[in-house]
Amino acid sequence: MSTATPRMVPIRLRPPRPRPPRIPHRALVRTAVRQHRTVLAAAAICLAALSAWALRTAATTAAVQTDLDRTGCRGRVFTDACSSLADPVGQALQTTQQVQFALLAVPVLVGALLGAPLLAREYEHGTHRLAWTQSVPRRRWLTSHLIVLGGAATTIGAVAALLGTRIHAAATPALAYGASGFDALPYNAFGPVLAAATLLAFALGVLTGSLIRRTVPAIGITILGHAGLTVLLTWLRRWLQPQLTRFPPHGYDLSPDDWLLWDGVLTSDGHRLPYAQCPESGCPADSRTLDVYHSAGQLWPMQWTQGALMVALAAALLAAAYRSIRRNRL
Amino acid sequence: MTGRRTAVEALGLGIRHPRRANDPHLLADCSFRVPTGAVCGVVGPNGAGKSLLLSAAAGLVRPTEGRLTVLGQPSDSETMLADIAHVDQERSLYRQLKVAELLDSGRSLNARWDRARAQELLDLGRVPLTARAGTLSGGQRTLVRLALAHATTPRLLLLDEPLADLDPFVRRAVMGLLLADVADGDCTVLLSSHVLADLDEAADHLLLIDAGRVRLAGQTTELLAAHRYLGPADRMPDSAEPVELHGSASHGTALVRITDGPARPGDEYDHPTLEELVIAYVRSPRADSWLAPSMRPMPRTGLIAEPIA
Amino acid sequence: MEYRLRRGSSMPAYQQIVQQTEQALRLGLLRPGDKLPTARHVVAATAINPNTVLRAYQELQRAGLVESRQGLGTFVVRSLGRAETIAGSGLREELDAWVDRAAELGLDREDVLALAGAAVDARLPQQAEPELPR
Repeated sequence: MSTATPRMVPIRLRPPRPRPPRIPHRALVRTAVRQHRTVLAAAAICLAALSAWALRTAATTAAVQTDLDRTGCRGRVFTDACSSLADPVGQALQTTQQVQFALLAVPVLVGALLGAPLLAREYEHGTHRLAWTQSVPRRRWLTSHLIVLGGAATTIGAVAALLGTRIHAAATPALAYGASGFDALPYNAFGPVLAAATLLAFALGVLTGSLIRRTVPAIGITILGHAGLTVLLTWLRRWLQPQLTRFPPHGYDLSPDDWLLWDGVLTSDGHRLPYAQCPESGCPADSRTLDVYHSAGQLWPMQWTQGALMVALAAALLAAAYRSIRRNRL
Repeated sequence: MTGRRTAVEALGLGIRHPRRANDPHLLADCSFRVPTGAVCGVVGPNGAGKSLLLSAAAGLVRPTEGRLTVLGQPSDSETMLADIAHVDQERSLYRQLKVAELLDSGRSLNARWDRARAQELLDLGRVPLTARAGTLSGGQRTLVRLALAHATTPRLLLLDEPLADLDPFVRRAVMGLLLADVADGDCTVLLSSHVLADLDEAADHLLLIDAGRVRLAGQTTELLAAHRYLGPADRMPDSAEPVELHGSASHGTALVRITDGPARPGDEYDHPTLEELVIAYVRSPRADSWLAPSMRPMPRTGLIAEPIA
Repeated sequence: MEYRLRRGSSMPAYQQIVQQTEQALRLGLLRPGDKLPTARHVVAATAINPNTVLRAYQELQRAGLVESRQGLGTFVVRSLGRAETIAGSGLREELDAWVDRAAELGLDREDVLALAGAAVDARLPQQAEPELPR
C-alpha cells in the first residue's frame, strides 16, 4: 500500500503584466473642461454681468454717501432741505438690496446647475458607462470633474463674496439707521459665508445627483436642501462667537452694527430673565437691565468660523459622493 | 487559438436586484469560463441577463455573490480597465460633443490609443467627424462607440448587441474588423445577441443565459456534437439526457444530450443546428443545464499559474 | 487570394477555405512559395471566426500543401494538379479561342458550359475523385 503522493506539475508563472502608463491629470482635466464648456461659458457670462451690476451699484451708493456727508443730510433725508437726496438714497437702498438678493441666489444656481448635473446627467444619459470603462478609474475621473466644476464653483463663490463685501461696505455706515451686517440678508450675501455657501451648495448638488441619478429631481432637492441648510446655519451662527453681556444703565444702548440677541433683567438673586418671561406685573424692581449681544467686531470672526464649518461640511458631502460611486448599484 | 488561459471566469456569480424582495436574483449561480482567444456569443431571450453579465465583466456592476474574474483580476479592480472595452446597448455618448472631440477624449482617457483603428470603423458608416453625437443616427452612434472601443486595442472586448442597429451592408465589415484582433491572439471577445444569425460563423463559443442562469456553455462544435435527435425507432442510450421531447413517447422525436464518448465526425446521427439547440433549451426550462468541458471553470490553485502546454 | 465564403451553405466555413485554396492551387493561381493571406486579413474580409481560418490552415498543413513559418505567415509548399504542364501547353489559349468562337455563333454562357461539360464527361468518364489524402 502506498500513499498517494501529490503529483508534481510543472507550472510557469506568468510574468506580471506591466502596469499601464498612468494617464496625466492634465489630460483628464482638459477632457472635463471640454465636456462642461457650455455651462462654464454661461457661468462666466453671468458672473461678468453680475460683477458689472454690483460694482456699478456700489459706486452709486458710495456717491450717495458722499453727497449725504457733503450736504450734511445724513439722518435728515426727509427734511425739506434734503428732499432732493431722498430719491437717490431710496434708489441706492433698493438696488443694493436687489444685488444682495442676486448674490444670495448664486450658491443656489451653482448647486443646481454645476453640482447636481455632474453625476445625475451621466447616470440619466447612461454616459457613466462610457466614462467609467475607459482606462481611468472612476474616482480619478470624478476628481478631474470636481477640479473643473468645483474650481468654477469656488471661483464664482469667491468673486460673489468679494462683490458682496464691496457692496456691503458701500452701504455701511448704514444709509438707513439700524441696518446691521448681522441681519440675515447682508450676512448671507457677503464674505466667507457666501463663498463657503457656494461651495457647500455645489457639494450638496454633487452628492444629491449621485444618489438621485436624475437631473431635474436632483436640482429640486439641491435647492430645497440648500435652503434648509441656510436656515439652519443662520439660526446656529449665534453660538459661533461668545455671546456678550452688558448692563446698560439706561436701557438699550447698543450701536446699530451690534446684534442684540435678547434683552431682559438680572434679578437680585442672580437669575437672567428675558423681558418676555417677566411676570405680568412687571419685572422685579431691584433687577438690572441686561443686553445679550454680539458686537460689531464679532461679525468677521463669526463669518470666518461659519465659513470654515461650511467648507468642512462640503468636504464631507464630497467624500460621501466618492463613496456612492464606488458602490455600483444597477 | 483558444487554450487553457482564461479571459473571464465566473464562480457562483450572482447579482441581486437592490430593491426587489421576491425573486431578487438578476443573475444567479453562474459559473463558466471563457478561454483567452475565444469569440463567445452570449445568447438568450430578452431580459435574460446578458447585458448585466457584460456590465459586470466591464466592472460597472459589482457581483453581490460569488466571484467574477476578468483577465485574472476581480471584475471591480481598477487596473483591468486599461485592457477592456465595453460597448453598452444604449450606445451612450456625450451628445453635445463632436465625433472628433469624442475621439480626442478617448485618446486622453486611455492607456493605449490608435486613432487609425477608430477611423476604419467610422469610415464604414461614413460618420462625419464634425457631426455632434446628438445628431447621429442609431447605426452611426454604434459605430462611434465601437470605434472608441476598437481604438484602445483591448484584450477583452465586451459588445452588447453590437450589430443590432447596423445596416446589413456594413455588418460583415464591422464584424471583420472587430474580430481581426482575435486572429493575432491574446484578444477575447464576448458579444451578446438575441439574434442567433448575427453570431453565425463569428462565434466559436456560446453561452446561453435564460432567466439569470447559465443554461448551456461550450465550444459550438462541442455543443453540436453532444446533442442529437432520436426518432421513435431509436433506442434511448442510458447515458442520454433528454432535453426536449416532441410528440408522444411512441411517435415523437427527442433532442437528447449524450456526452460520454466523443461523437465521431460524419456519424449518421441527426444533430441539431445551433439555433435549434438554443431554442430547445429555452423552451425546456426544466432540462438540466450543461457546461461543456471547454467552458468549465478551472480547478482552483493558490497561484495564478498555467500548465506548460 | 481572397476567399468568398457562403453563409448558410451546408459546407462548413473551414472546408470552404480548404476547397478554395485547393482550387487556386489546381489552377496555378497559387504556387509554391506564395503566402496565404494572414488569418487577420481573412477575418477582416469575411467576418468569420479567426479560429475557423486557423483550423482550415491547419488542415491544409496536415495535407502537406502549406507550411506555417513562425512569425512570417503561411506559405504554399506544394502545388496541386498540373499547373506547370498547363502553362506551357497552349491548352488554355486554344480553349479561349474555342469559347470565343462559340460566342460568335450565338451560344450563351449556359450553352457553352453544357457543351464543354458534355465533352469532358464523354471522354474522361468519372472515376474516384482525386481528393487529398486525409
